Amino acid sequence: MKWILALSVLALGVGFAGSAYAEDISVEASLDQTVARVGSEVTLTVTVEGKFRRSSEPELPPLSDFDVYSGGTSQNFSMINGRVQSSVSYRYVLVPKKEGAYEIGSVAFRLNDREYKTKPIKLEVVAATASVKTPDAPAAGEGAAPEQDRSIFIQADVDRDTVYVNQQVTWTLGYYSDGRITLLRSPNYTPPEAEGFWVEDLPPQNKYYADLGGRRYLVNEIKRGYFPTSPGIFEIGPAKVEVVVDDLSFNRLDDFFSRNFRSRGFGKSQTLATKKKKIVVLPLPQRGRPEDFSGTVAEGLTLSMSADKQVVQVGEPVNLVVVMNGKGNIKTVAPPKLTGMESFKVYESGSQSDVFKKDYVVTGRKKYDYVVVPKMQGRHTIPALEMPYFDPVKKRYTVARSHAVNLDVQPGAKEEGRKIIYAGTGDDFEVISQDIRYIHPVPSSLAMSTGVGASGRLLLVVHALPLLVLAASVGVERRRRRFRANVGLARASRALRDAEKKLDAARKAFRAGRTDEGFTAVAGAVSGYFADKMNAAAAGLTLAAVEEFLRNRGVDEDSTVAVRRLLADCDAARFASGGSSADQGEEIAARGRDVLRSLERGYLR
Amino acid sequence: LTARGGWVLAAWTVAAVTGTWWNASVAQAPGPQTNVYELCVRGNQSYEAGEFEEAVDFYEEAVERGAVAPELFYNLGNAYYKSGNLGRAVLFYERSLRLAPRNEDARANLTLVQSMLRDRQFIEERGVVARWVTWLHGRLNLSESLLLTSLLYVALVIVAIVFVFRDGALVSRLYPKISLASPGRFLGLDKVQDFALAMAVLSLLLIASGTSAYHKYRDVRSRRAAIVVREEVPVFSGPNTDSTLQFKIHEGTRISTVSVRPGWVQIRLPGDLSGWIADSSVERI
Repeated sequence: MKWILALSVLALGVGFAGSAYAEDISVEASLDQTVARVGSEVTLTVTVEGKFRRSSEPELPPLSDFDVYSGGTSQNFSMINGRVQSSVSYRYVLVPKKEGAYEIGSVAFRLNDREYKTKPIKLEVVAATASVKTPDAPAAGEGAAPEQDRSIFIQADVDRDTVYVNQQVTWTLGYYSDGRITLLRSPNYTPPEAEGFWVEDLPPQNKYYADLGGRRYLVNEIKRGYFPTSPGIFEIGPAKVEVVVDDLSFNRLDDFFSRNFRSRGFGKSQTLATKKKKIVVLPLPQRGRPEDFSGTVAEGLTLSMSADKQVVQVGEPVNLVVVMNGKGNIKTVAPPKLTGMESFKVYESGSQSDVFKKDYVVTGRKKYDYVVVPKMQGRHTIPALEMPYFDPVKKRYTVARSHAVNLDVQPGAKEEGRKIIYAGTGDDFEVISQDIRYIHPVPSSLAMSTGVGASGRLLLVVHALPLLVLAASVGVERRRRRFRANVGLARASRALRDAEKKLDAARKAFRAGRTDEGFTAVAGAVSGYFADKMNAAAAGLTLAAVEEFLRNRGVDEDSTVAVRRLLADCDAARFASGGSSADQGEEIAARGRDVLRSLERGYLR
Repeated sequence: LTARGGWVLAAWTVAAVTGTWWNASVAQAPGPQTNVYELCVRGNQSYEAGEFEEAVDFYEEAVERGAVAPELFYNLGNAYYKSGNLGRAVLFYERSLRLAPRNEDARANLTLVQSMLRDRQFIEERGVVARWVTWLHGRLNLSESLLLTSLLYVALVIVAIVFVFRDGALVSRLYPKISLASPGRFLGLDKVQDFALAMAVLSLLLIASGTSAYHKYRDVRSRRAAIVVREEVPVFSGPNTDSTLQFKIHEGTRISTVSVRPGWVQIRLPGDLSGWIADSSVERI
């Protein structure tokens, strides 16, 4: 709404209403239109200019037939010939509620302890459907009079008023000046508003001389590119240029400027405006539209694709760059689709847009960066890219194509573990494509799950056995070592076992009828037992020594008597004339076993 | 070492080894096996005819009936791959490799499928020793690990018993012959040092093998490892959809489950990534 700001400084044509003067202070109110529809917006601008530091808020007159909204304030300070000048504009938006002829009363100010009032302004409000002549037609600087009759004017034009969606419309604004008027400051340019367009400024500004109606004008041209975003009828609004000329020039001006410039004592200001430009935007044709068309509109679109390596290893990243060039609004073009990339992992790593405006035509270059990682070895091709687009000049669809990129993918580091030596001079195998390995035959015996650990406890027991065996082995070995170190202990320990072996031999001898041999064995068993227990030689062992040994070991008298009897019976049987029977021998042997076991158990272990 | 002791030891060894093998393996069940076998055969026939989704149905039916075989899982993985279900293909290749870690076909197919997954698969960097241990760990399944551990245990106990009786007649007579293969002989060790070296080596091997077996057993029992079987799965900061959406994972990605809430499972990924996903979006290996 910059143009509204610009309007606030000047009262253009029909909006001029009046001013109030007091010393070097000027106060004026203006409307941007004198005829308005019910419900439309009318801008009331109250401007105070002059030498002052602060102004109070203006007091508006009663406006009961209007809705009133504040439109903001703008303020300017300037120093001309050492004098400070201030200019404050207050804007209000008035929305008429009903038809009628109204007079907007005076707006009051208090400045420097003095009250200032503006002149009343007339406003005609018509029905909402009535036709109203807008200030844009005719505009102050264009169309009000032939351009050739004026010293300064602006003029806008477009290179085409019917375009396709996203096709460039070049809008040109010409600022014409015949040099007869001196500007106090640079013209203030407000570009047009254009809803439904993507806009690009098109530098540089162009300057040239033109002869119009016998006058020589210096023409300053600026251009803009407009790209409609959807089909329909759209407008490029009026551009505005605010100029301020000195009083001297003002006095020399032709009638038009006399009518339209306002004097405030420090230059005259006027806003020049162009006409709106209507643009018809055609939809893109359905006929011939490719299926994968994504809406790109351009002229001479080119597509290229390149990789930073041609020979890589599996898993090694490759930088792939896709570049698109063409006339048109390339910035908004969607990226081309990479297809046939099953053998690669693809990562987008960024994009960059560059816009060029050579000869006032928008040209674009868009660069897309990808990182592709080969997944398998072999000779792989990244297929050529295709980008269908609509060429608005040729009025048909066409396709931009890049070249394909070939990559020789070597085995990766992981795959180099096994070195293969090739025989002959044939070529390497070329991997055309890769697939999974084939299914396996069904095994003749399929396992069925019954759960793990069904015999876990049994297994623990089984695994505990070796430790028991080890422990037993350690025990046995320790015992063996102890016996080896102490012969007496070893003899005493095995005395009963040896004696029982001899007694068994004696019983066999008795049963075989070898009674002498049997009794000798019994006597040997008994005497050997005591010899082992006493760690003495069996040959010299006497009954007295045995009895003393038994007494020393605390053997009771009955047992001692039993031992004495046993030895006596053995001797009697061995040395008695006529011999003893085998039965007697077996009885003595059995008694000997009992006696020895009894001693072993009770006293001699 | 007596002859009786030798027999006891031999009998125990046979019992322990057989028991270990049987315990860690699965029992043969001839009843349903026939049907399961037919299902697998029909699955193979469908696969060979290019009817991959039908093959999946047959194989899955066999699995539902309790069939556990690396070949079945491998074939099912293939059928899922051909049906375009990469997540389940990875799942069944992993299951096949758990039973038959040296199945090169399953490993190759898994590698190929993983290369097609959307998420980057993490491979931990390891040192030489760790790689060797991991390689060995990865070459044996649970049954084989348990068997190896049992054999090493038996060997260690036998060597220990022989060591106990090292001064006995039998050991003294046999040692010169046995020690021909012992490294201690070349190192100039005496008999005691030689036995100590043998027991130390066996102990180390037993610890390594036992640790490996324990980890495998724990993996099987805990079922923490899982595969994402949905195409895209949002990972939330908590076990509900109102929590913050942290990131997304995609089918085929191997994750580790940490804890479970009704309908939700907490997962962990390498790089300290963690979050909650719907329980139905993953399958335990």
